Amino acid sequence: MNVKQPVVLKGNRDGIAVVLDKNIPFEILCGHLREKVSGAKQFFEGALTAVAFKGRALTDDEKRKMLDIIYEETTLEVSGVSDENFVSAVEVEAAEALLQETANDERAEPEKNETSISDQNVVFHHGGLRSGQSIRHSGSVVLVGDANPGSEIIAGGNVVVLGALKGMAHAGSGGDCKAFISALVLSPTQMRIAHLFIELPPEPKGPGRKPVKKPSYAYIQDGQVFIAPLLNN
Amino acid sequence: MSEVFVITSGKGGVGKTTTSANIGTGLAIAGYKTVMVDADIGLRNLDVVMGLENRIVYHLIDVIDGNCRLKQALVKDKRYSNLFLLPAAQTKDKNAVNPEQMQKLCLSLREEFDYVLIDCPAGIEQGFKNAIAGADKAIVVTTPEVSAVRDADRIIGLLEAAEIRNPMLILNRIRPDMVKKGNMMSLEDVTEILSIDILGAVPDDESIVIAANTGEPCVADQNSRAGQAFRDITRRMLGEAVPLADLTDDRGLMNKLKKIFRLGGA
Repeated sequence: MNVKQPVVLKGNRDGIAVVLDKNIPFEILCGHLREKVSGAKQFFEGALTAVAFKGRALTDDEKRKMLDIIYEETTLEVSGVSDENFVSAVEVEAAEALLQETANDERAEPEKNETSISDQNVVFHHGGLRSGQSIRHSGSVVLVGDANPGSEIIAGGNVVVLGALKGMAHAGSGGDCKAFISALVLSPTQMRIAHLFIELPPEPKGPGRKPVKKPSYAYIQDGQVFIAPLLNN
Repeated sequence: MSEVFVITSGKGGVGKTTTSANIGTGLAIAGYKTVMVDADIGLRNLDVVMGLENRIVYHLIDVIDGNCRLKQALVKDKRYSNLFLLPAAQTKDKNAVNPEQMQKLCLSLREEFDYVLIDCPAGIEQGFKNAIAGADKAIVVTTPEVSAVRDADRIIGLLEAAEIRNPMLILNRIRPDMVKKGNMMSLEDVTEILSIDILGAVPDDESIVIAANTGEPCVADQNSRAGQAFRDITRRMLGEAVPLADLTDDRGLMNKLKKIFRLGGA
């Protein structure tokens, strides 16, 4: 693993990976970690996530020291610690921090695959998004909840909303034309895939006249946008 | 065990000040020692709505700057002896206060009063941050308009970020006749978007305008429908389970005619 920086914070679907340089003395590494996490302090605020240490073997004692640094510098709540993989929910603040890190990280580019997607770079967000809140991620975003009008989801990969999408959604923000947007109720204020701006057919406006709520997805084919129901019938 | 409520909305003109005045008066009528804090520095209104503008000597900034003691700045209401107002300064602006000073102020008010109500200014800038700094609960006021609901949604997000959990909603200025025709968002439409607990719905009522002009909050007016809604809201705040009233106005001309015919036919 070629790591130029002594400490790199990386996000994956399981939580935060702290990648450590194995050639640097532990004490110096601690200093770098402190610097790194205190810089990302506000992103971590109150988030609950899992932490993995990678790139070097750590004793239990060393691990505890590193966790202490994270606790001292941030209000992050660590739900689990491991050297390898584990599963935990990723809160949006943490996810945003991860995005910043992964954006500078060439290895974290979303994979562009054919029909089946084996994109590891996914963020799950539990709970809805309110007006003014946003999720930005270099990979795909799965939102479990509603995205209210005035909210934003900007993803390098796909956008999946397990709820009503009423805000703005941009899939394939890096130019990936294969990205799609899917929601249980697809009525965004605005929708973009890659470079295409998508205008939805006008909906019956006004209260009392609700749009038909059908799970649907939007995708690009031959430079055109299609919106199709997810289920027949 | 005192509680500090902030009354906020994001959008201006939806009835924060009217709500503050009525809830404050309602709590005072119920026998609780209540203070209303006008946090809308530079654009004070609450004193006018309460009819207390000619009694103001010191204001919030005077207290914070140490020009007077807290008790000197509190204006006692003319009707209820357990109701007080801490007026805003009219000559300063929002930047004259910071959130830490507001927290300190709320702490000292908490010692004196059962309920502290903070009337928040519109917007999400400094004034909003000041107003919510010392609060432990929030009441979000909105009207059944798309723009007001959008702003309320933003405010709820900001309140949650500031760790003020479970804000309660007051839907103000509802017109049941328009809702019935499908020309106005219903209570259900609004709660579907905002998904927070509803504290009450207040009908659009002339008596509110009259009350603001005369400086007598309509919560004390037994004949006012809006007043009834605010009385219900106060009781719910005090922990009573009061069902949401049917807001349909039965005093319209057509209804009067119908009643007359019904009586005549009987």
